[in-house]
Amino acid sequence: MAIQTLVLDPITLTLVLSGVMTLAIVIIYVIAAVLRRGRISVEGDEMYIGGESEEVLRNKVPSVLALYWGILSRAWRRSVKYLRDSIHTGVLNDWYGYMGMWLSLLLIVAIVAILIYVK
Amino acid sequence: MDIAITILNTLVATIIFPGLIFITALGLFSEWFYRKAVARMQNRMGPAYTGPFGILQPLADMLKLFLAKEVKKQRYSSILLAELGLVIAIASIVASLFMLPLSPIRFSAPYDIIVLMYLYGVWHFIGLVIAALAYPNPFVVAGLSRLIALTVVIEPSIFASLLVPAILVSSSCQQPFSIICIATNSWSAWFKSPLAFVAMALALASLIVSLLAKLWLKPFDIPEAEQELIVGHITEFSGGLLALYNLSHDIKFAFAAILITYLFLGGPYPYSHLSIEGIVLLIVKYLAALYVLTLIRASFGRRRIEQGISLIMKYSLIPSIIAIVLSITAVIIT
Repeated sequence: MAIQTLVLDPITLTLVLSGVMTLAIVIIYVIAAVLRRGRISVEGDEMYIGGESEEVLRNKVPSVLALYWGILSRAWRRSVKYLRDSIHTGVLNDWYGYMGMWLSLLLIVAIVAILIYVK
Repeated sequence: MDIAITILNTLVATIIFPGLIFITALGLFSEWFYRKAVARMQNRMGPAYTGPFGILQPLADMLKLFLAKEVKKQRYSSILLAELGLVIAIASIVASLFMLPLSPIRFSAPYDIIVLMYLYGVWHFIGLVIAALAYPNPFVVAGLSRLIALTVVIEPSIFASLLVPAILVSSSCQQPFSIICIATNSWSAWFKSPLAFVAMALALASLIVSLLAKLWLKPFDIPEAEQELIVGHITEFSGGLLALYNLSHDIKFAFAAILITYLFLGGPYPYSHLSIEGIVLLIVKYLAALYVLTLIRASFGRRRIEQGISLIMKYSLIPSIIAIVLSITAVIIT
């Protein structure tokens, strides 16, 4: 097989390589399924022990919110603690101040975006 | 007719070289090399009995899991989703190989470095997340949340590191920021100027750190963390599923060494792929990349998640951004 270089544009390349990926997915999946040949054990599957209640465990995936807070509280522990200490002071004025600050920032960003778009 | 031949060549390349058969063999060899080297560093024998020097041990392990062990179905699991996720993770790397000069049929485009990150950074990760979430368990979710937190820092670091050789060599190519352009010219980027050399060295060090973290090798084996989380996001995998996971990890390991070999060390260049000098140079560079990854893994213990993230920021993300600034300066000066 001679060496062949195909120069495409980035979008066509993405589509072609996605096609190659799909082809590889089908081939690997068939090989894996043939090798496994239905060797599935269900022994003891009712004995599942989890730290959550039934309606949480029944979900195929955990809630997005649980993953979000899981990541935040584990990875950015110091930042979360700082934010919690500065916002959750129990003083209503602190909360108003914080929300006012963020909403003003969003308002400014929105105005700038509109001005740029109109120009 | 030409299109038919191209499709046929692509099919052959997907199955044989550099696709499934080649990358599986390379992944299993890389696992053997890694296990043997780490064992020698720790005064152990490592794989010794299956095949010469135990080289067939990873293959034997994989076949045993596939052919002799059962997949354990759990009450809330989906075997189909888990298999699909792991297969996506493997296939994304197989597709990425077509952008490297290693492949006899190469696909290239200007700025295709973004397509590489789309396949290797996004799809590989999504595949693993789908697979892990298909077997819910408190340890799996804890491991997965650590994995996602690490990925948020790892992927920008890898992308920033890969941009450095791209910036330095793109002026000499017809397709700027393409993987083929970087791979064929990166060896010369080291010698362009002292500033370019420093930028390449910084970016290479950053890439090695971020790839170690992407492979969850020590000190970044935080999502697996045996003594804390059983094995984290793969706690519930068994039989064929565990074999697929191990294979996806081996292939990712091999691909990491291939990325270092081609995009920073220049692969076989200035020789051609089909010359003896080129092949020897390629093998030496590949083994050197594997050895460095293995050496760092064997030298450290595991860090906690926040320590791991700050390590990646300190030794990978920030140096890679500095390297980008230096490479842009080097291009402007020259």
